[in-house]
Amino acid sequence: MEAGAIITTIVFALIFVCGLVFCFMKAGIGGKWED
Amino acid sequence: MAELTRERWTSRTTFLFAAIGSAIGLGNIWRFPYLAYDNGGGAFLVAWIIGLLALGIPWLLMEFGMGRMFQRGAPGVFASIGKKWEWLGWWAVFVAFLIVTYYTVIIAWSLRYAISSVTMAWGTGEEGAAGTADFFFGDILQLSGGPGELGGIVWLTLGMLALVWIVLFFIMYKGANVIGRVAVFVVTIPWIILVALLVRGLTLPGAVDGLNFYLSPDWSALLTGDIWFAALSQIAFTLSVGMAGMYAYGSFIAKKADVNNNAFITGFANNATSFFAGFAVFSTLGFLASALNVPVPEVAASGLGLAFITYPAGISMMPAGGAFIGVLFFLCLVFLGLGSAFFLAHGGVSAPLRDKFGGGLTKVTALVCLAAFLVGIVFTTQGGLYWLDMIDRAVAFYGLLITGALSCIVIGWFWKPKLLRDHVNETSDFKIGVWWEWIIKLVLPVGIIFVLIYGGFMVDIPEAYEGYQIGPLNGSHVVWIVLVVTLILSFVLGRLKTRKEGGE
Repeated sequence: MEAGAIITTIVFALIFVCGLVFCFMKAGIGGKWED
Repeated sequence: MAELTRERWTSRTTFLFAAIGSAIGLGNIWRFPYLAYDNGGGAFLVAWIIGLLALGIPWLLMEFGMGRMFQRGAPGVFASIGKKWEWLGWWAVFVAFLIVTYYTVIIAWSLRYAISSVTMAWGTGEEGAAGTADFFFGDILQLSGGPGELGGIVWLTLGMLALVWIVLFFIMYKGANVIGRVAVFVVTIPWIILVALLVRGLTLPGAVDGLNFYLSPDWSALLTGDIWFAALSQIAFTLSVGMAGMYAYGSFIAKKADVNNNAFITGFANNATSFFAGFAVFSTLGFLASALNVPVPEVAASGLGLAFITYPAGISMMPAGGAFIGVLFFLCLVFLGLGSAFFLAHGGVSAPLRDKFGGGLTKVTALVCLAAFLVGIVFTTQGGLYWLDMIDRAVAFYGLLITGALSCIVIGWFWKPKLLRDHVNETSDFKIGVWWEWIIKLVLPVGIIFVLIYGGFMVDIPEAYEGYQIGPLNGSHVVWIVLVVTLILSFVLGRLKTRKEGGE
């Protein structure tokens, strides 16, 4: 793969993984998933 | 009273799967990867992420939040703001209704392809790859010469369409309770299939060439209007906003449940699915180009062309397991389609109708399924593809964007968005700031109007849409007529009396 394609893959994979991890860590005001 | 009897999601998990299932659909597989390739690869992804954060998630949050706050579908939400705005909700309901009438026909075609894949009915090897267009237009569609020539009904497609609606009825007739449980499957099964397609794609020669075309950034593209039109339009179309259904899905959320975080999770999960699907699609396109000894751009395609012509060509050229991959790919389309279809039919149409006129869930669901099936018969005719294309342009482009922009303007300028912000912040995992109000007031309307003008009016006013001609009318005329007729019907429905709270 070309360098640009590899960097794009890594950067956007990180954006999605970190974004979702952040959301799930915030989930549940009392630390619970279900409301 | 109505709140006591309103449908509810059984858990946060089922709501999230239902929302993600409605957002991820056929466009994640057949539209997004091509747009990325055609608009600067990695540069497009930057514009697309900006679009998600600046437009998509705030829009999603607005629809979830308004539904939850007023405990109504789209027309009920706008009637709660002011009776004079109820028509706007009904216009979005018509958008949802017309979209689901043809969306289910595409699911029916996918089912036919899943069955045809078992025997690779379009042929194998180079001969098969060259014959996929003939198979689609000739065998599956039996396509006529133009929209003015409807021809006969394609009975196999009609049979599959009936089957799709029967399945949808059984998913929807018990409401959010069953929809949420089914949604878990219609989301996870396509994810598993996409992993299988990606693994197969990456093990084929030439896959890397395809991925280079999909992802290599061309930063100069960021300076053009095309990339922003492509990115913003993809965000508007992919999240299933502007189709009435998200208001109803939001109204099924419990009073003490989160809204903000759920909107962010739905948006991120949807875009992550698109990003991942691009690898599965372009690895196979890279292989197809390599097998046919042509450059990747020559085989790159989007929409129906990608799903029903190019991808089957790739399957034909696979050294082993082509039939199995074909079945998986088309079943993936079927599941993705179903998740969006019951969202449109239930959240977009049934729930608003019940809010307005009452009626049992089973009866209203049956009526909606029957009405949508009957309208959908038009798209199973030999000229159906042309009509599908024009109706799609009218409702899934203009209808969705116009109702979306007007919704933001009404909520942002003729109501108090701070009330909604306070409402969702009260129970959500994290709070949204005043920035969100300005996105609803300014950024979203401006972004949507840009897409409408740049990719819509500037194209369809000077020239007939796709050059279609039906007697004295052309394709663009049909688009405008559909918009005007649905608008008039929306005003009529908005003026009808609403049932009493809690009444049937």
